[in-house]
Amino acid sequence: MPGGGTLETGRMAIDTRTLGALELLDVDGNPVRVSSAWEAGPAVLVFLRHFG
Amino acid sequence: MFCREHPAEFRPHQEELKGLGARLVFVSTGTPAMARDFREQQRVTASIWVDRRRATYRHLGFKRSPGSTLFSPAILKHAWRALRKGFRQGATQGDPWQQGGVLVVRRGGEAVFCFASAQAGDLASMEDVLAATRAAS
Repeated sequence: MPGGGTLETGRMAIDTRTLGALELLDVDGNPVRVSSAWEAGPAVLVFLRHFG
Repeated sequence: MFCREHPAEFRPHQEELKGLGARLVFVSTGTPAMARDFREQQRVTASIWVDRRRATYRHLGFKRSPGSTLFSPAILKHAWRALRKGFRQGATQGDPWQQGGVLVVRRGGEAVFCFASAQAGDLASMEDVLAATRAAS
């Protein structure tokens, strides 16, 4: 689904349009939009519990 | 220690992901300074992004609870696995109760794979992640 979509799993539905609009920080503290991860190709986002 | 194990599990596969044109990004709770330390100590070459408000975690429905961090019997099994690989627990930097997961998204934004950890140390199958990424390429 170009421009975003929803993945239905057994437990959740994922709205990547809303997810992609969220803004995080890179290691230098610069804002980065989540959707930039999949602008040029597929993205693998690995969510860690914390740094430790 | 699971937060150290996860990037290490991806390291041998980064070239394949790169060959598929895929971008690998690690997201964590904490601060950019913590991310910089983690990057250096764990020799992470992929991008690291920080979600201080845990908005992405909430959006994806990832668990956050003391129970999923401390009180599940499965955690002992996961901890034994990580310890045998040589990973040790460091000082927690970030949200101690947050669980993680893996999301694979096709170019343009279609989600093709999502794994949510049931408890600490419950990591996605690397085979499943690679298969989803190949399919998304």
